[in-house]
This record gives sequence, structure tokens and C-alpha cells, in this order.
Amino acid sequence: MSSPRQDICWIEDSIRPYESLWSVLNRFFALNVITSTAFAKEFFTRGWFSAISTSVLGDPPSFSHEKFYAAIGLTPKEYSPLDLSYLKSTHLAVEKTSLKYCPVCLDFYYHSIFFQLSWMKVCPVHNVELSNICPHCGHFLDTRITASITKKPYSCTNCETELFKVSRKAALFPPNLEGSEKLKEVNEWCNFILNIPNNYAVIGMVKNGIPTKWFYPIYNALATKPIPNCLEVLSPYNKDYLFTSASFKLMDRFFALENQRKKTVSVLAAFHLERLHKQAVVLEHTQSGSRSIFRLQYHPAIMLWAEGLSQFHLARHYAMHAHYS
Amino acid sequence: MKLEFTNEQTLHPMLSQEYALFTPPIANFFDVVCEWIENKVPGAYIYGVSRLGKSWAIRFWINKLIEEEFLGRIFFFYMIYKNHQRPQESNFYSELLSASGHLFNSTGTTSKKFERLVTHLCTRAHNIKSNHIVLMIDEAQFMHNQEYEWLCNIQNEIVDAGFRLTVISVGAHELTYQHEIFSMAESAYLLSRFMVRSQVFHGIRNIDELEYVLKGYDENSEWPENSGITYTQYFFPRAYKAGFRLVDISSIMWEVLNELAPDVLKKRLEVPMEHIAKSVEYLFRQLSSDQTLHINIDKSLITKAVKQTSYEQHMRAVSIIIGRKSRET
Repeated sequence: MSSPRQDICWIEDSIRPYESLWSVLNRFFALNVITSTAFAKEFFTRGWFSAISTSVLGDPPSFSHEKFYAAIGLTPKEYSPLDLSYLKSTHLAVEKTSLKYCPVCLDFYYHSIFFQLSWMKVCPVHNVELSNICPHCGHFLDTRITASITKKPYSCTNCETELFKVSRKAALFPPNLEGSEKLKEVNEWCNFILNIPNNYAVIGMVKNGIPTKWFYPIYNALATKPIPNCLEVLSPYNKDYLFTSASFKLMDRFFALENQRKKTVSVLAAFHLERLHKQAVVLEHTQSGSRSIFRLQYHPAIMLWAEGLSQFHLARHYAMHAHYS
Repeated sequence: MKLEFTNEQTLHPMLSQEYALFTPPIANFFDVVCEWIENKVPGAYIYGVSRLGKSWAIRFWINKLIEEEFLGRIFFFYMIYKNHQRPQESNFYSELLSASGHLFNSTGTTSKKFERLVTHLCTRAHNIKSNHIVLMIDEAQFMHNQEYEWLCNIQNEIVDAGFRLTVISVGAHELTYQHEIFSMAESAYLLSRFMVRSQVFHGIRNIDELEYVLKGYDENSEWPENSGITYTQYFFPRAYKAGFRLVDISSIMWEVLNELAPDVLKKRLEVPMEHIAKSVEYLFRQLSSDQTLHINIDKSLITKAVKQTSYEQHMRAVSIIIGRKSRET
């Protein structure tokens, strides 16, 4: 961590673990009491302000994240976890449009990126239900930093009412957030999920009677890392996955090559496509030229992994690749 | 020696007049400021007739010395007060924001600037692991009552946030009148905050001090940076090697300064640093040579050097002020 720039108001090392970009920007505006125009002159390449997305890095393109982070004394390595793109890399479902917040955490001038996990319903620190609705007007809260936020930090972008009583003094030295180590547990679990694709290649699952011998290593890994209590796994049948393949032979070739190439990788479920679509629920089957497109639903256990793993996309990518055709 | 230059970087500080030698009055000034800082006093003032070198001391020395003395654990900043016919709160905060180095010094309403200023001062201090902020205001003789009241508000806010602010006003002789203005305007709270402690900034008062100053050119100066070449050595390399030192002219120079001063000041003569520096600069410009082995500086040349600085006129003006002040007291 380097020192923040001296020509702005920012306390060195004041970013708390897993604090979101939304939280950091709100605190910045609370301390510096500046207009969006003044802010844009310094931190927007085009020189005029437009709403800053805290869920998509680099949106709008003219907001210079690097310059802003450098100004508050953060190196690129340190600021990457502030952004939701970090969470998205885990392939966990993320709430991008409405801001989920814990009202108690806000009193500590704190909002965590983990609150934006779709599975997180309750604040792990205070055990309070997260909300994404303005208590004054009932409107969904925006994850974006709009010009109204620069004028009135920590407020609803619709009714411009503050979500809590904001004071400069408290924003400068927010009270200690006790119990924040519970967020560490969530972080560890996310990292665990993130690492799974490096070790296993899973492409699908049967509807009933899971052949545990194929999935044993995953179950084993899961047993060592239970899902944190604050996370509520969404109903597994909520999502569908599209699986595209030109032919069964193509898939066979793909798995053969993958197994040959990654000798250290445990390919746990290199299903034959025939077996795969027989045992999953086929919702839709369409023909596109020589290609069959199956829209499948999978067993709840696999849905859990589907949230965390990118194997379906990976398989599709490889299947379409000329190398395998 | 050819005293020409191609750009500002290559210009000797004596030629650009961008330097200040460390002098006994600066040492005094610094000692007093250190004492005030250590005691975390809310306010104090330093006064002295003009041209003594107060502003130069602030610009070139005080910041550096405070940095060294307190090992960077004090947030010190200074502002040159701009005289306004009608003081405006918003402008005052803008100037303070600019002096404290905030990027956004002119944007927003008065209350927003106030908030930003207080937060900025606290963050600057906190980031160097300190809770003490020192503000030095130069040309403070022009400041109005209202501005001291605004400073008072700033100080209160800062104290409320757990920090301390020391305001040191520096200005010409007229600053002493502010003390009376506060008491007449029944602003005792301002008086007790900002005007209870004071110190006079003196000029060069005796031959020993003059020797110290001239020795600065011979020994305690350097240009180019890290070259080990003193100012005298730079302008007279051969003569310097042969033993020429500016300090040798101090007794004649003191004699000249005494002779040219009005009688009323002779008993307690305080020579403004500006006239000494400009006299030396004149001598250096006139005599500078990288070939000459022996430099001869006689009394008539020194008299000419001192006179061309308008020393006599300035001292006559000072004698009028001093005379008025002593009549009042």
C-alpha cells in the first residue's frame, strides 16, 4: 500500500477488508465534499462526469480507475478485490444492478462486495437481513455512483435521501467493525470455489442416482469446505444451461485430447453425451444445421458447481474449435 | 566571469535572488516557533519591520527546519495572506485549501469548503501519524477580525475531531495593533487564542551577526547542489583558493551600515537582511571573476553597494515608525 495523494482527503490504510468500490467512492465524496464536475476534471479522461458502475470495471470507459486508486494509495493488486469483477471470476451469481446492504454495516460506513453475492441474504457480521430497497421511497438502490451521490453520499439515487445519518467526522474515522472476520470465511470459500476448476474438469451430471465414484473427489473437497451459513444456495432448478455439440464423436475426441494433455487433471465426469442427455432433463432440443442444441437441466448438486465452474462454457468452446472437428 | 545564463535551471540563486542564508534572527525565530509547537499553543504572532527577511525565512527555512526538528511528525503549512478590502469567507477557505495543498480548492459553497478544509487538515496530520497542525500566515498585518473568527471556527472543528491547530501570524509592525483591536472590539476570546504570545523578528543587530551572515556566503552555502562549491567560491574561484573570504569585510560593512543609518536608530541598529543580501549581490556582480587572484573591496565600494539598495531611505522610514511607536507606548 502506498501513501494517498496529499491533495485529497483520504486516510492512509483506511480501506477495510472486502470493502466495495461503492463504499470507497461514497466515503471519498463524504470526505472531499466535491461536485461531480470537479471530480470528473481530475478522474475522467473526457473531463465530464457520467455514472460510475461499481460492478463492471472500466465502465464508463472514461473514468480512470487506475488514477483514482493511485490517488487513494492503492496499487493495482490491492484494488482488484474492490470490484465485482473479482466475484464474477468465481462464477458465483452476482447482483449487479441493485445494491444490497446491511443497515448496521452502513453505520460503520461499510459495504462489502460479498453482499452482492446472489446467495447472500444475511449479513455475516450482524446477522441482519440484507436489503436492496430504499427505506424511504421503496425504490431499488443503484450500484452505480451517480452525480447525486457525489452531492449526497450514501443516499438513494431516486429520492436522494440519506440511507443513514452521515457525518464527516465519523466518515473520517469510522468506528471499528467488530466481527468482520466472518467475512473472511466467505472470502476463503470464494477462493476455494475459484480454485476448483484448476483441479477438476466437470461437464455434467445425471438427474438421479449420482455415480458417486465419479464425483467422489468433489464431494470430498466440499466436505472439507462447507458453505458458509450466511450463504443460501439458490434453488438449483432455477437455471438452465445450453449445451451445444456438433456430434457425440466430437465430444469423445475432446475428452480424449483433454485427458491426454492434462495428465494431472482429474476428469471426473467425462460423460458420453448420450448418457449425459439421457440422464439430465431435456427441456428443449433444436437442430441448427449439423448441430444439436440441447437445453438441459441438471441435478441440484451439479447446479452448485455450475455456479462456480465454467466447464460447460469450456466444453462448448472446445467443441466448436476447429482443432476437434 | 560571464554572468550569463541559458535558462532558469542554470542561473545561480544569487542572480535569480532565490535563496535565503541562515541568519541569527532566523535561528531565533525558529527556536520560538519550536517552543510554541511543543506547547501546542493555539496561536501566536511574530512581528518586525518590513524587509527584515521574515517571508524569506518562512519560504526557505522554517518548513525545512520544522521537518528536521520534528522528523516529519508535524503537518506544517503556510499561507501568504492576500489583502482584501472586504474579506469573504469563501475566498478565505479557498486560500487556506490552496495553501494546505488540496486539489479542489475553489469548488463548492462556503460550508462545503469549510468541511473540506477541516477534513483535509485532519487527514494530512493523521497520515503522518500526528494530531498537530501548524499554520503560519505571512502578511498577517492585513488580516481582519472576521478572518480570525473564521480561523477560530476552523480551530474548534479541528479540536473536536481530536486534533490541534496552532496558528502563527507573521507580519509587519502593524500586527501589534491587532492586539489592541481585539481588546477594543471586545473579542477577548480571539485575543487569548491568537495574540497572547508574541516575538519580535529582529534584523542584523551587531557585527557578530553580520559576520555570521557573510560567513554563510563563504562556507554555509552551496551551488550547484551537492557540488560542495560555496557562493563565494563560485564567483571568485581563484581568489577563494588564495584565501579570499567575504567575512573579512564585515567590520567595514558594519561601519558603513552604521554611518548610513539615521541617528535615532544607531543605538539599537537592526539592519534588514534584504539590504545586506543585495549589497553582497552587487559586490559579487561587480567583481566576479574566475581569473582574479586578489579581490580588493574597499569602504567606498561597500558604501556604493549599500546605497544602491536604498538602505538610507528605508531606514529613514523605519525611524519614523519606530519613533511613532515609542511615542505611543
